[in-house]
Formats: sequence, structure tokens, C-alpha cells
Amino acid sequence: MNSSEVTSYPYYRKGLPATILITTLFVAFASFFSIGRGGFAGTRSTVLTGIALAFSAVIIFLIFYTGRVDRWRKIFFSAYAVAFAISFVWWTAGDRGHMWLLDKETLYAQAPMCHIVVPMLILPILFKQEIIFPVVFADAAFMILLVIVVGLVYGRAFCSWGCFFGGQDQLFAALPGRKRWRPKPLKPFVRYFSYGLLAFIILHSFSTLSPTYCFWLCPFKTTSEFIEVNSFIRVIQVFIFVILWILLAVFLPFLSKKRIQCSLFCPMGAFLSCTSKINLFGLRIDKERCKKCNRCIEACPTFSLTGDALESGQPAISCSKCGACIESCPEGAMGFTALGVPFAAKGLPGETPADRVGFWRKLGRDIWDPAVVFIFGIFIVGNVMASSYFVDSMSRLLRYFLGI
Amino acid sequence: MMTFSILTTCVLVPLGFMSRDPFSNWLKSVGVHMSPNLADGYPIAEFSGFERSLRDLPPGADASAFDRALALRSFSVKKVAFRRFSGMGIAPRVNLSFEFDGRLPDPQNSPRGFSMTTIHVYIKAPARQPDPVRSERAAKVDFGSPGWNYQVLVDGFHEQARIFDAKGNLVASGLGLYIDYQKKPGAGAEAASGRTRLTAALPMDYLGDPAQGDWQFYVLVGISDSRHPSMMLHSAADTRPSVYCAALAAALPAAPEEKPRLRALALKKPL
Repeated sequence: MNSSEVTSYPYYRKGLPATILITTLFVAFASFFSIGRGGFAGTRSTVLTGIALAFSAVIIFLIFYTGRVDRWRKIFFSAYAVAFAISFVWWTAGDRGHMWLLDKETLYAQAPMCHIVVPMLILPILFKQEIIFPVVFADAAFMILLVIVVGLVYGRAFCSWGCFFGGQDQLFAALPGRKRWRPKPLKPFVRYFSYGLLAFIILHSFSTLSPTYCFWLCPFKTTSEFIEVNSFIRVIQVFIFVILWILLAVFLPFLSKKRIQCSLFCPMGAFLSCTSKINLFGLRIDKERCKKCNRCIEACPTFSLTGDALESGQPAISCSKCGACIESCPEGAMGFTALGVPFAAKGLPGETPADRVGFWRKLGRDIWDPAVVFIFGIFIVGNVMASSYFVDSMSRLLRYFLGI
Repeated sequence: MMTFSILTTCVLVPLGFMSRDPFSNWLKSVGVHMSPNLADGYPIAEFSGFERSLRDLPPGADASAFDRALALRSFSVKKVAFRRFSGMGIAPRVNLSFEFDGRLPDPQNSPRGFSMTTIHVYIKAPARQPDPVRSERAAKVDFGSPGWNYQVLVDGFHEQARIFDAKGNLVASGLGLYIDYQKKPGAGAEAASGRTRLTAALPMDYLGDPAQGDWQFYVLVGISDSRHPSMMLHSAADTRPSVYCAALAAALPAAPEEKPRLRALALKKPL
């Protein structure tokens, strides 16, 4: 095989029976969660939830049937971000009547909860027993639990599969056909900036007992809600939000096809990176197969792969397990692992007699793969996070444009 | 390891997602609370066990409504202060929260939804010296120790709480008056009674920080009477201005003609 050709991704491609089985299991799990969230209450809700489930089912089917993890994940993730933005902006500007977070909403602890707040909550909870964000208590508890569970099991994979903001810079990074700007190898200050920012906002939030990042540095206020602009300070805050969003989530990702905001700025991503050494799932590089062609380095959207990473056999802790490197590798040298269990090195077609095993054995081999468990699990997480926004945005669009 | 990862993915992670309420309850049980919920605030002290006296009701008065108007369960002092770096323009405040059993009666359809209950809170703030003589005259109650600096009036006919000094001058207005009724979970008529929380937000810039120094609060809850300057209903049988017909947070006087005696709710320990 010519290593300069990228084949049809045989490494994560599963047989049709295995793909159907995985998809069926996914639909069962996702339906269970949808029932718990009232997704099938009423005809309209049932139909729209069914459509959202079908979309997710098609995505996971295509992931395993074609073996192209990153390609289909990007579509789901970007659609999720768009659905979230539509749903949230419509709810604030339409239902609530204003996109501003009014002092009144803060007074009554009605601010919507966001997972990026969680790192700032830790020290005040530990030392002051306070949740320093004006949100319903149960919502804060849910987000803290989500970050703990997902962080320990999947780590930074949440940034590529579950974050409702991450899909924005993913979308703008994926839109252009080619790169217009190739960033030079990152200096340490740039590469580790998000960690420094994380440390700063954690300490500053603790000292001031207010969530610093939310009030001053969050670019995604631009597509969710602003603080009510009723003073000069608020004008400055809004200006910062908009500039950061345009620069980090739109412009630079569009030019570089890299996820600039998520990889170099987001403190939540840095926070989740801290669990990368203890995550259940990870990504490994088969050093024997790797031919140092550096396609993975080019393809990685989070600057997690370098020459050193290829030498060591694992990416930097900033790896968000998106699968872009796996797709780009012509040698099948990269793959997801579970607690160090090496990924099933499938080999190239014809290299081994594995393709000539019986039906049940092939099915078992296809399913018993850390990559299947990882993608299945993290996609469930993403779907749980996304489904209500898909349903709500579809409902609103149908009502607005078609009157149904 | 594969088995463990499958179990984690298919069992533990979903269990985690479904454990929101137990986790939330556990956080509350270890003392985690909301702040800065500006309608609630950072708790400093909470008091309960108030004494009630009902006497000489006007003829034809609905005794059960009077009872519900005085059903104070607890009184708490909380503070809220957004730091400057937040950019929030919300003034720091001292929140006085009153929790009543059931809904407060509102026979006169007051703007704030409670027309029978009137609350007086007398505050002795450490930063200022009270005038014992003047403050004793201004109030119609007996204090265990003399002197207070501020009288806070909360009633259903004014948008905000009002703050008077010992001379009876209106010196400041509250920053917010919040009324929340929470229905008790469960079914049936008993469960429908619920709780009403009434929170008066007072300007911390004016009063001072209740977490610093020794503060004393005297809470008097009575029946609203807009004909009287104190907004509180007086005895029908005894027309002397010092005798209230109903009062709460007062020790029962030995004789009917005596003034209600208020028990000091003291914040002794600075935080």
C-alpha cells in the first residue's frame, strides 16, 4: 500500500452487523435519557425527539460504518452548537423578552448554568461552602456532577463531543476548504496560556467571590446572553466578549482550521486536561507503525500533537480525543484506548487472515474494542447534552417558518 | 479492563447523570449554600422560637386570619455583596428574611400581597451609639436593654422597607422587598399550606456590615393598621397607644396594660 494515500479508513470501520447493533444500543440508551427528560410527552415532542434521535443514530452509524470518526463527529458537534445558539437566543430574546441578564434574574438566582463556571466554584465551595454563581442550586449541582463524572471518565473529550460552545469554533474551523494561515510551532507561553488563565480565574474568583471569567472573559456571552448594559463598566465587558468571540471563535479558527478558543484560551478545557493522566479513555500512538509523516500534526485541531508526542507515543494532555489524527493517519498508527489497553490494531486489509473469521467472531471482535466503548459512551454524553436543544430549536423554527 | 470500561460507560456514567438530586441534597447537607443569591444572601444568623400573643381583637375579627398573619417560623440575617470586579451595579445589602407558615392573608389586596402583617425590626448597630431615651419613646415596646439605632418597617402597602431613626425620621429606604411562596411538596390540603418567605433588603453602605461587631435585632410582628403611625393595630379594649392587640417576638407581659417586651436577637460573634 502506498503510504501517501489515505485509504478508506479501515481501522475503525465495523461490519454492518456490528454497526447496526451499536446503533440500536445507542438508540435504546438515548431514548431512555430522553424519556427521563420528558422527551416523549405529547405528539409534537415525540416527533421532534424522534427526529433528533434519528439524526444522532445516523451519525453514530456512519462513524462506525465508514470508520471516519472526526468527519461525522464534526457534523454532529457543529449542528449541536447551532441548535444551542438558536434555542438559547430565541428563549432569551423571545420568551424572556431580553437577551440581557438583568439584575433581577441575578437577584432571584435565575442565571442559566454553564459548565465553564465549575472550576471557579471549587475553592469557594471547599472553603466557604458557597456557590458563587446566581443559579438554581440543583442546576449548579448537576453541572458539578457532570464535570466530575465526565472529567474523570472522558477527560477533555467533552470539549469535542459534549460542550455546547465548543462546536462554534469547530464549525468555523471546519468551514473553509484549506488553511489560509499556518500557525508556527507554538511557543510555551501560547501553548500553556489557558492553564495560566485557569489558575488566575480560580484564584481571582475565590478572592472576589464572583465568577471572574463569566463577568470579564467569556467569548460565548456573544451567543448566549449579555449582562445588562447599564453602566460604562458593562459596556467594556460586552466589548471584550464580542472581540474575543470574533477573534478566537470565528476569525482565527476560520483562517487556521484550528480550534483556537478551545485549545488555547478556554479554562474549562485546561481544567479537564488536568484529568488526562487518570482518564479511563485515552489516545495512543503505535510508535512502530508511525512513519513520522506528520499528517496527524497538521490535522490535530488542538495543537496536541508534536514531534515529541509521536516519540513518546501519546499526545499532549490537551488532546480532546476528536479523532482527527486517527482519520488522517495512513498507517493506522493512532487509536483510542481504555486504561492503557491498546487499541485493536486492525491491520490493513489482506495483511492478516482476520477478515476471514466467522460471523460471530467478527461481530465480537468488532464490538470488543476500546474505541467502540469510548465513542459510544462519549456520544451518549453529547447526545444527552444536545437533544433538548435540537428539539427546541426545531420546534421554534417550525413554528416560526411553517406555523406548525 | 474492557469489562470495566464497558461497565463504567453503560452503568456508572448514566447513574451519575441521574444522581443530580441526591448529589444536590448531599451538598446542602454538608453546608453548601447559594451565594450571592441576592434575594437570599450569605447567612449570618437565624432565629426561631418566637412567642405570640393575641388579645383584645376587634369585634368580628377573624382570629384564624390573625393567627396566620403572625405565623412567623424564623428570622434570619444575611448579607450580599458583589465585588467591584464583577461589574454588577447591585448595591451591597443586608437581607432580613422572615419565613412564615402558609400564605400571608391579604384581605385588603395590598400591592405587595400581604395586608395583615406588619413587621418592625429594631436594630442596634455597633457603629453608632443609640439614644436610649429617644429610642424608648419612639417605640411602644419594652426592650431588655435600652437603645436602638434604626427601626425598620415592613408592610404590604409600601414598595420597600422603610428605615427610621430613633427620632422617628425616615432616613433610608430598602433596596428590595421580595415575597416568595413555596408550596410544600406532596398532596392534600395539608401539603398546600407551604411557606412564605419575605425578604427585606437594606443598604449595607448605610447600616454597616452585620458580620462585623455586635449587632442586636428586636423583631416585632403585628397586625397592620394604616390608621396608626406605627402601622400596627392596637388593642380594642385598651385604647392607650402603647398597647398592641397582637404581637410576636415579644415576651408575654405580666399584665395586659404593660408593653410587649421584646427579646434581643443578638449577633455577638463577628465572622
